[in-house]
Amino acid sequence: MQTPSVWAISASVVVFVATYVGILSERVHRTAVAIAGAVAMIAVGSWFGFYDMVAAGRAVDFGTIFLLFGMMIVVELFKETGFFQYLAIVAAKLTRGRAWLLLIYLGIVTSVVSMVLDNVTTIIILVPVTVSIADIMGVPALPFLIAELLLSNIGGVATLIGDPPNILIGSAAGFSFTDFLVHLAPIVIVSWAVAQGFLLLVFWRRLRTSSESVERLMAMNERRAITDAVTTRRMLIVLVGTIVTFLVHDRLALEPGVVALAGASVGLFWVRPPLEKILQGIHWDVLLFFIALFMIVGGLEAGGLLEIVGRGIQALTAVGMAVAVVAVLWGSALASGVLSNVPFTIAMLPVFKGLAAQGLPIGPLWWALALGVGLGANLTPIGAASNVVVTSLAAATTERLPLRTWLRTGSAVAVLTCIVGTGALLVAVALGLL
Amino acid sequence: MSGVDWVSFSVAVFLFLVTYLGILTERLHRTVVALTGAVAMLALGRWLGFYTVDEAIGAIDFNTITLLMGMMIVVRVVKETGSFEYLAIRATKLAHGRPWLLMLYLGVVTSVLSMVLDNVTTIIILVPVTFSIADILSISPIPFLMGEVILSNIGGVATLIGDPPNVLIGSAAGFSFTDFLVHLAPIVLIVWAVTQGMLLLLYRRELLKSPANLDRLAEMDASKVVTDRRGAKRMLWVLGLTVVLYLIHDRIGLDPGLVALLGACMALVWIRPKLEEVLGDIHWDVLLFFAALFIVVGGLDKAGVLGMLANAVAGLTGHGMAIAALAIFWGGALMSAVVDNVPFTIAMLPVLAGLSARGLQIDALWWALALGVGFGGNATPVGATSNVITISMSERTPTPISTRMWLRTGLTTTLVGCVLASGLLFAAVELGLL
Repeated sequence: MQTPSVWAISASVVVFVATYVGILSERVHRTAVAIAGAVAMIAVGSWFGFYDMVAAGRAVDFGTIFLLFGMMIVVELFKETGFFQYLAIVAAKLTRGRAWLLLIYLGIVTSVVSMVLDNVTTIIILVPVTVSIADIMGVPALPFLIAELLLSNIGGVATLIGDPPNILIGSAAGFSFTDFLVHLAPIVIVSWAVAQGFLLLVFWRRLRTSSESVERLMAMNERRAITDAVTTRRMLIVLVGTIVTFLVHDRLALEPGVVALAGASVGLFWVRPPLEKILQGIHWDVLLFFIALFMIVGGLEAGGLLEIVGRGIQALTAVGMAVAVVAVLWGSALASGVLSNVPFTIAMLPVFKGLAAQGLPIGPLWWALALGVGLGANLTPIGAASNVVVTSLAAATTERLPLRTWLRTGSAVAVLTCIVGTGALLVAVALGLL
Repeated sequence: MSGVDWVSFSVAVFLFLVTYLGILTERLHRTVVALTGAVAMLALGRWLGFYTVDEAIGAIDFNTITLLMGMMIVVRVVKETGSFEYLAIRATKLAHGRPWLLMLYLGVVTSVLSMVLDNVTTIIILVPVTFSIADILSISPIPFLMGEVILSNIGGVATLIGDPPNVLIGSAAGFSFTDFLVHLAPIVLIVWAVTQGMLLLLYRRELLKSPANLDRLAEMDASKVVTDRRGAKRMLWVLGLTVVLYLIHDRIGLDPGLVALLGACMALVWIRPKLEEVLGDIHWDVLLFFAALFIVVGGLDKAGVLGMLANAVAGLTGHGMAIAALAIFWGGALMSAVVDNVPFTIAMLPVLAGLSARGLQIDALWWALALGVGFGGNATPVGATSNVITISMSERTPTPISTRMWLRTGLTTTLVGCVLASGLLFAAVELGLL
């Protein structure tokens, strides 16, 4: 790598900061801002010679984009059949109309599902169900959506395949499925319980249901909700097939993104919906936002900023492992809140591998990174792909998710769980467990 | 190319053929077929070891995709201001409502525009105007649409920037703007005039009918249809600036795709339309279709099929330059009728560049290639990018263009045009003019 020039670094940082201010100010749609930022990064990069269109194209993680896109199509095909409403009614009846119980049930379901599926898939499947349930019970959907999102981000940290950053870290550090479970699951369970309790406390007042809506709910017949039984059966087969393929994807040598695309094309082939309508239901703003974000972060990396970060971490390990672990955890939590965790993790992998190549014992640092990017994802509305999906879906279906609400819930949960994670990591390092 | 793996070779050819047959039969939406073809090519390529996801992503020409998307966004924003209706009314009044005269006017405008802009942009801008005109006169838009696509594909051949293949050929062979004009414009002019005549003849029944709505036309006030004057003025600036940037793009080091995106960003940030609505109207099926097609053709390339084809062409130069030029012309025309002409041109570039590196004087072959891929694209609905866009746009109206309709006009004019052009080409090579 060449020594980064001051011009390249400052130009890329200026574009980056301006874009983020634009996104957070919420005056113009974040996707428009992000595209403008990506174009500016490429233009500035071409000017100073550190970045261009080709490099920007390469910076985009199409695995993530394909995965999002494929799962969106599968869910869109499902939506027409009434199957989500069916599930919603069954779940709501199970709670006998108690909204707080529903929050706990949904929380558990989300976390378990997001341990085996990645968060984006989990969220894309669960959001329509949740919106239907809330509709039936006469309660606002937003608390449930937020809880599902935050808990899925936390739950996903526990396994190799639960979170896109974990897949990246696992393959870079050579950790197995069991490694992740043994090292992270205990910490995740504690963090999860803390977050669940906190969310119940925050949302308690919004979770009241009226007795008449409960009566109406119990009188509903879930079987009537299904409007198209043939399509439902076909799509169930497609969904199960896709999920099974996800679980064995590395043995088949297929990327998760290709698996999702295959599921989508089988669904389209079998169900034969009007394609135009399905494509209009796709959240293009989310997909474009991510593509643009990857390009911007790619420019930041090409500009040389991330290399400086790597040197900083290296200096920290000299001070002592405990300090380095805490710094990596909080640093990456903060950074993935700002940069979104997948691009940040992608940018950090070479840094960490470089440290490992120098013979440093960096096992604990990998775990700190996994915890930091996983738990830190809850920090901001753009901390993870699933956050953006939920924000966009919420705006389209129920109500907007303002930044203020996010700060009160997501950011608070992120800070709380990071504190738990820090304590656990420090104990583990002190006892030599990691 | 050495050591072609015959299993990969035949699998790739098989998948390619099935995909193309599926597209041409129109039983399923072409995008679904292309997507499935791409997924199958990826999965089988992975297992047989001739194709990876990274290579597939690399095979996608993002410059084309971003160019399309950027211009679609710009045009969508312009559409909302009512400017297209304004232009349509002015044009119709100018032709006194006579369809055949309109056809002639539109043909000239299209060809001139497509000499300075690429065809895709030309078509994306002109098609909405055409729909408005047909709407005003209550006549079928199909003759006009077919005329515009076919003439824009022909007109674009005359200049360096008129056609994506020309941009590629110009940069590979080192031809200048003037080189293209001097060598190709005379041939293009003759073919253009003949094609225009044929179009008028083929559609004489539709074009000689006197439209019923002439009274209504007289009452229409062009200045009243512009619903958003401020927006229209701003978009005029954006469009003007974008076109200027296109014309100087290579001097400032920006790719055309980036320029289009820049225009889109200006429109989105300055006019601030509802992003979800704008994105919902983008022709995603076209963009996906191309991305998928690039992946399919990329697999064909990586399996060694295109390389073998190229070698066969190279062997022909032994039989004399005029014969080789004719073979390349007809090969290019035939291939770009079936494959989109951009991927085919990309595959041919290394072959011709290799011949020229051996010290052969092959300028005539470059010109033959440019003419062949340019004219051949009109033969089938998938021969050129603008064909697919026009069809997709017509599918959102009550009068979609079917494959059969396309072939009736496209194939006839292409055949006549190609026979004429190959005669001129042969004469020019024999006389030593090329």
